[in-house]
Amino acid sequence: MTELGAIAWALRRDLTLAMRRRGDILNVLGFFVLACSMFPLAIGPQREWLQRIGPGVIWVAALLSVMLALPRLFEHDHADGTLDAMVASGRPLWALVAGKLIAAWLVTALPLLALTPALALAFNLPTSTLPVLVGSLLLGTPVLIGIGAITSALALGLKSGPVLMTLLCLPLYVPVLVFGAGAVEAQAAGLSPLAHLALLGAGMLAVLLLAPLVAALALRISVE
Amino acid sequence: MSPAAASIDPASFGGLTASSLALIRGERTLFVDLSFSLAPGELLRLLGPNGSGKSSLLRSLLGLTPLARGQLFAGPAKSPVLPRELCEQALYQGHAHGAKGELTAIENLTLAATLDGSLSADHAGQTLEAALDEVGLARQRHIETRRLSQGQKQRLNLARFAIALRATDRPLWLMDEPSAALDAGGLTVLEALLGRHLARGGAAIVATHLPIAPHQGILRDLQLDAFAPRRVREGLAELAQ
Repeated sequence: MTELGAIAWALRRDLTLAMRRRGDILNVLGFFVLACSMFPLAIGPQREWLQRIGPGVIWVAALLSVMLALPRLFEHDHADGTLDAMVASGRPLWALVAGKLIAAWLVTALPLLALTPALALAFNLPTSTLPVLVGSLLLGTPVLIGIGAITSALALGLKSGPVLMTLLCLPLYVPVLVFGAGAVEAQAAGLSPLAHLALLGAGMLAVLLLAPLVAALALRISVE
Repeated sequence: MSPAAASIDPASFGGLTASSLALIRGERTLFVDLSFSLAPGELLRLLGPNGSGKSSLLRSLLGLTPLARGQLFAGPAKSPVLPRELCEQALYQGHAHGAKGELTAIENLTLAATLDGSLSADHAGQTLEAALDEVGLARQRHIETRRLSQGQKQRLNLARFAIALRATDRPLWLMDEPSAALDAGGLTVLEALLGRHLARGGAAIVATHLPIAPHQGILRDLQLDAFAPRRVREGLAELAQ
């Protein structure tokens, strides 16, 4: 089994499992929609206010939704012994982790991206900002999942694992949030969002390269 | 009748030798100065009371748990190997069942055998069916694994080993309590599989409480509590007085 084979194995496995546990996907999506749609109701129909807070609210909701799904990334595999089996198989662990991360992105982040245009409507965002909003989420969500995977691998098997994970994640998530929401604000203010998007893109490339390796290392420590 | 097992070339697998292994878990030393040697065709039974370190020894041979000290030798030239390097030659069955409850028996078996690399692309379907048939799970193949009994889950694990008999790249089997929850019929299947594996030149280390005795191969026992450090500690205490 090559590295590519290992990635494909883990990807197919986790996608199959996600299809059997559709409730988990719906849970994350429901949270995202609920969190976003509560704001217009609570703030009232002032157009300018909604337009002003819209990008930030959608970004925060996306971030929290991803965090909601992350503790489960390795937890089930750890509990039922399949994680041990993966480590003991002698296959490149980073490749197996990479496959799991791609599956996690497809299952948690992609549906969020698909719903974002509809939620942007609720905030009365100008259509010109929509591509930037979706684009910033497209670049930012892999970073969120990558960082979350490292922290959840580190916190795996600890009694207060989810708490620790949240504490570790949040400071690392702040820059992603700042640049993500900043890109949309810049576009809305008539400035170029490219600088923000370029930084997000750089972050994504770094995470794509490093997250599987670092998470694999963390997993090796956690299964001890 | 079950298909012939692929025989293992003795030139590629020279068994496993462990020299003065020690394992520490947290504050507790499980064993010290543990040495054993395992040749092709041999089955090493790890015996000892609960908590004597049987599972930990199996895990440490694969690098899942770090050894405090000791050295492993493997390969035809008995060259030193790191535990992690042993993973590619070993087929490990841990204490947990390692099956996904949401997936059916045959789906779990497909995943496991693909990861092991023992499932060849052609005849994969036939191989899976034959293996499930061999362990007596033919009728349960499309049932979700969480609905299977403990014993049936254990049989599902055996099916993975039945498939592994067709491939030669994992000559070292490491099994943690494979007989737990198995009935008499299941035990016979387990012994038959182990026997065929030993007969083809493979080796196995099995942590067990039951007297598993395959008809082929050489049987050796390792009593783990004999290597517990109590005597070391008592000796040191005497010296201190």
